[in-house]
Amino acid sequence: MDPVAADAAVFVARQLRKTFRRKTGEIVRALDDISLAVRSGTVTALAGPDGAGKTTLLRLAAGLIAADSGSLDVLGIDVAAEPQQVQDSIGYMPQRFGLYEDLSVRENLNLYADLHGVPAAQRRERYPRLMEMTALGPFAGRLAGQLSGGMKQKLGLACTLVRSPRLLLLDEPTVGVDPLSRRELWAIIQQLAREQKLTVLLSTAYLDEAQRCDEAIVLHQGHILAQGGAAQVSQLAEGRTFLVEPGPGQAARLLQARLLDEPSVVDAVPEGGRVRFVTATQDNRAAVARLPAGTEVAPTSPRFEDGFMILLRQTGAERAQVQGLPLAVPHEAADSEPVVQVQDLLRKFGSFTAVDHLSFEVRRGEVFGLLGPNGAGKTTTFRMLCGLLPATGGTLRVAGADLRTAGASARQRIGYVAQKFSLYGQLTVLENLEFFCGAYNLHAARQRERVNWALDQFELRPFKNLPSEQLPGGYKQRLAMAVALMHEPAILFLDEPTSGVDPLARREFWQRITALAEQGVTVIVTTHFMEEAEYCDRVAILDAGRILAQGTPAELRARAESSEVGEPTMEETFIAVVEQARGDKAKQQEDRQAGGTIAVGPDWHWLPPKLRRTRALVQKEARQMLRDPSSIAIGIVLPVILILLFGYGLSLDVKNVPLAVVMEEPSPDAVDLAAGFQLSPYFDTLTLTTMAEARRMMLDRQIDAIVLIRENFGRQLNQGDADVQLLVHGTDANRARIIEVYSEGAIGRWTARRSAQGLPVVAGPVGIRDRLWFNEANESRYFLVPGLIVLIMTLIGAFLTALVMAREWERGTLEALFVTPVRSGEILLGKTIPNFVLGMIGLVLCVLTARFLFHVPLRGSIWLLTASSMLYLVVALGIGLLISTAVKSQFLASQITILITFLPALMLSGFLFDLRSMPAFVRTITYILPARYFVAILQTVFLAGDVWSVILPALGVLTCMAVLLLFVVRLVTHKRLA
Amino acid sequence: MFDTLARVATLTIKELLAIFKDPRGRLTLFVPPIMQCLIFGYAATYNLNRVPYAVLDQDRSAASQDLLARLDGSGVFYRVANLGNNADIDRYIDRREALFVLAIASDFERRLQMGLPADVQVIADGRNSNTAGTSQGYLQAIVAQFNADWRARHAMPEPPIRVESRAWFNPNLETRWNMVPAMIGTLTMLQTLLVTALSVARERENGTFDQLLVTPFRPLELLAGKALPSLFIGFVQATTVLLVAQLWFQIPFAGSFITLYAGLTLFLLAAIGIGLFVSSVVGTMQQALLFTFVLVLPFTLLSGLATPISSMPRVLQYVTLANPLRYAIDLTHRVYLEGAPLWNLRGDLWPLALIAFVTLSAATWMFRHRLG
Repeated sequence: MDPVAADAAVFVARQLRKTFRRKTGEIVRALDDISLAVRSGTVTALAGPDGAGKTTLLRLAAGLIAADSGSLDVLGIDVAAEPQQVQDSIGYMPQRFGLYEDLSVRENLNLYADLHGVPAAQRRERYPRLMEMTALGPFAGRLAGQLSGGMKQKLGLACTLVRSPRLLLLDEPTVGVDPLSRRELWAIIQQLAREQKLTVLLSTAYLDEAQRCDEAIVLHQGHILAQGGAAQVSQLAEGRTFLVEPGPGQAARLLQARLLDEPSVVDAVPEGGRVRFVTATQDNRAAVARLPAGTEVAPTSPRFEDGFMILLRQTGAERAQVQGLPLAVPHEAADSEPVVQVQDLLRKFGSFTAVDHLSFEVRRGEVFGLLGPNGAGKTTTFRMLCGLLPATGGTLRVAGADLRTAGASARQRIGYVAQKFSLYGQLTVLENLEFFCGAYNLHAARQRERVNWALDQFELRPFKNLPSEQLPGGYKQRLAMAVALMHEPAILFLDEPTSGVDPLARREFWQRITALAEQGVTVIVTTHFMEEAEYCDRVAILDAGRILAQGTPAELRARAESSEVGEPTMEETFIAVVEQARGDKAKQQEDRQAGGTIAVGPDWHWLPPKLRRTRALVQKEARQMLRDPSSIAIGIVLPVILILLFGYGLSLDVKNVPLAVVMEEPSPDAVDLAAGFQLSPYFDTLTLTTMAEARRMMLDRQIDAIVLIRENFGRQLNQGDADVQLLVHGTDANRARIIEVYSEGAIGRWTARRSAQGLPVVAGPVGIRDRLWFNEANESRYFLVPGLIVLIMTLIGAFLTALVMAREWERGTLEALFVTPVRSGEILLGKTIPNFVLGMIGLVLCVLTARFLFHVPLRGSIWLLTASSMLYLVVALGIGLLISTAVKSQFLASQITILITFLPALMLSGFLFDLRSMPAFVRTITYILPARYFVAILQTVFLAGDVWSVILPALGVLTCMAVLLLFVVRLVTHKRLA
Repeated sequence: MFDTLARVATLTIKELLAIFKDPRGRLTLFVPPIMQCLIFGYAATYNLNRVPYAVLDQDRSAASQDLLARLDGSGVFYRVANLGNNADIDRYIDRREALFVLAIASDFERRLQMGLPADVQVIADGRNSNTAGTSQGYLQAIVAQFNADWRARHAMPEPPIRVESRAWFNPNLETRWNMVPAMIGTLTMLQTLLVTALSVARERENGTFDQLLVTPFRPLELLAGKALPSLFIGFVQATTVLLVAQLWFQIPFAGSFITLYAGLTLFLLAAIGIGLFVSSVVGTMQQALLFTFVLVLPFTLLSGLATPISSMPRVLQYVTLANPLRYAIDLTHRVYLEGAPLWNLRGDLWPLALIAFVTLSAATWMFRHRLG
């Protein structure tokens, strides 16, 4: 079949190629000239191991990245040419749906409904359905950041499904989602496809999901291995799949290990207490020979997964040979001694009980599985066991100690793999391994040995110099696992270690786990892949913080068997147990939370779509701002502190200068002169008799100046030629100069006083009569307080804007936002309007305090002041947006913003320092600084009035800058991922 | 004990690796301090060297020409206009074309010849009253010289007192000598606080902090491992600024490096304590950045760098006693410009030690508290 010729195709790729360059310089072909088509109204699965190109294909389709060559038409539109048109009509859920963690479930959902322009009527119909799927109804008011990992994923999904687009692109939508919710999700997807003729293209790591799809595309390293009906893939394994029943006392695990040793066996997994295996040909004799004599082998019907494994094996992909992960010091063999004991464990968050009197025990060398729906309390239990979170009640012992209170050495015995990849992304694989070795006290030769062990065992050697954030998904998991094993812990805690890991890597992973357990390592693991529970020795099923059932997988299956026809799979068992427990309780809950579904907000349908979306973004931004104490701190608290400091405290005026008058001889004239200093308001005068003492005080910086009156002063004065020495501390040059002037003034006044008393004195002849226009009282606060407006506007406009925008890039919240009808201009507006308002609040604060608290005159017009401030604020916002778009990192954005906006506003604007006296090249630079023009306007409007000849040119320049900046920002902001 | 040291060393190396590996991270270590140092060195000066003025000379006599020639020849003042009448004054001041207008009355020379006081009038633009004041100081000096020469030429008696003025440590009274060494403390404080506050916040945001907590690290070891890299970065930056001050601006260093670095160590510890405290309070990197900034600005303003502490109201003067930057700037000035020995710096050293002790203890307590 020529895929491209398929009619009614909504998704047609021709010779599509996309390559990436790793930081190491290596070129990776993510998609290698692939051609495919997706028929309208079908649900199509994209399956393939890590690095197959699934995410790349979906991102290309969403217009988030550009292809190197080839073409891609989505809904008949060329994505490369018209990405926005495609984004208007598709739904897209990225692998990491960047929820706004400081918005509630309801607010996140309403935001996306607003952005997609979902009318209220449709929301009323859709919301309850989504809540049913996600079971998030009771948590509608909770902040997304406080949801469990799986609940976040479900919320992301709900946000994507708020409307029914013609094409839905889902990138691993069910990672970390529990089986109950997955079932609901599939019901929705199939309903949408059936009733609304929706086309769905989704990538998945659950191969049973691929089996449910109409069509499947198997990708491998950028190539298509198979494309067509999902059943066609299953048929590849026809006649090659078998089940073996282990004999009495035989562990299924053991049979599996033996089968995997046989090269002709493509795959072997435990299933319902038996082992399912797939052979390369229909001939299974070689495999059977590996089994103990008399073991029963029965053929069984093939699944998608079996065909998938055969396809992959045909590409020559070797099954990883996992050696038994030999530990240097094997732990004692499995025995019945409990190493983890949990009694009545309780954990509350406020009124919410996350873990409700949990009790269980895990024996040494056991693999213990914790299963449960999202939000059941699994991660909370883990964190308490690892000592990361204190328990509200109950006792827990891990290797005989409570890790919360036990010393550091107790932690040496545990290893922990968190739900989310949490190693140092910018450090290489090798550096991460070495760091954790050091953390576990492994040094020198022992460290080298362990690092080599990890590199070999986990096949990380080819990547050892790659920053770990650039590792392909499965390898990240391996690295996390390696890190947790560096110190050969006796107990291993694994929180959803296989979420988002491809089927091949998952098999290797479990081989390693079982190998470790054989050597006496105790493993506690959570998973949402129910078939993986088969690997566990014992399993506990949790819901709402309680244990519903506990036992071996076989025991649990037996419990569910009575209610179901035939033998239930582990997944069916799980669903049965949870539903049975919820049973009538759920009914009660429904009654109690009749209103627990999400209130449908107003849909603002009377606004044009552009404004409607902008309004939603502004509201989102404003909420985030109000909830984050730090934006309030920078937007309101800091301006107030600055105003009060400058208004009350800081002044360049010199007063209370500590000064010593050294009188070597207390003659009447000398005493009189000293008194002249004492009278001056500028000095705190101290009278000394020796120069040595004064010198010492000056060196100790207790005084800033010395007036030395020598012993023959009186005599000299009578001769009309006395000299007084003035020594000032020159460190603070400006102040020293003023002290000089004031001292000379004090002496001058004393001389004048003497002359008035009829003694001979001559002053002048030329004197200076000063008049200081605009600031007659010579108060520095007159120019400092208005000048603050420039600082505050710069802080809020440029600094805060750069930060909040860079945060979106850094947290990856933009990917989902991009694939909505939102235009980039609207995103920019949404960011800037709240900051603009905050800046104007700062202006009002400044003007009010300046006017009424500090009595700074406002001689010009308030409207002119407002208009020019708004203009400057726009310029500052533009700079902030530009910086954040360029660097996409909060740390760098803040550094750059301080350097190119805040410091110049403080130093190079004429606010404090005279521009004309700066060196020519610095002066030239100031001409391109917007702050310079704004300060000129501020000082003039406040103190001089509406002097148009100063104001008009400055306004003109600011306007040009604003227009230019907005233009450039608009130009560089694409809805594209880097 | 060995394990503790080894663990702290491991964490320190990791932190430094993370900073120095990223080329942009390396740049942020050196570029901002150097740039800021240059900006402050060149721009932050209260010295004036280009003061435009206009003159309204209604006398047009030899004496008034002499006075004006002295102004024009000063190298500081340059005349932008000769005004014809009083009405022009407004225009030049309003439009900022002249910083001041010097008005000489028509009887100027006549009064001088008669031995009467002959005042000139100065109308100055007070929009930046500091600049206006400084220019008046310069003008006064020129007028004083004019007076002295006039008296000498006309055999008038000298004033009975001569003031002989000398400035210690900064003979030419250059603001730059004040500003640039002060940058050693100011810039390092900003960077050290940022790096420290972000280091824990980043780990929290990325989830790596939990991974650290399940390893045998004790809270104190974590603190030490976070503090040491910041200390190192602080030293690197202080040295960078010191080099710019000496090699580029050629400000002579009068003291001992050992004394300076000893004082800086205490200062950096105090700053790191504050940074760690911030990082133990905040949840995200954005909060760490913003709170740091909210703290740094008042620290800088209350340090005495831009405006003298003794001119502040009493209450604020007490507040500055808790500001480590105040002591750091004083200490640097005294070592750098005065060459003060360690013992003379005790007035700066013990408050710094006390502040460091308090902030580090508070950070430790918060750390334990937040983890507990």
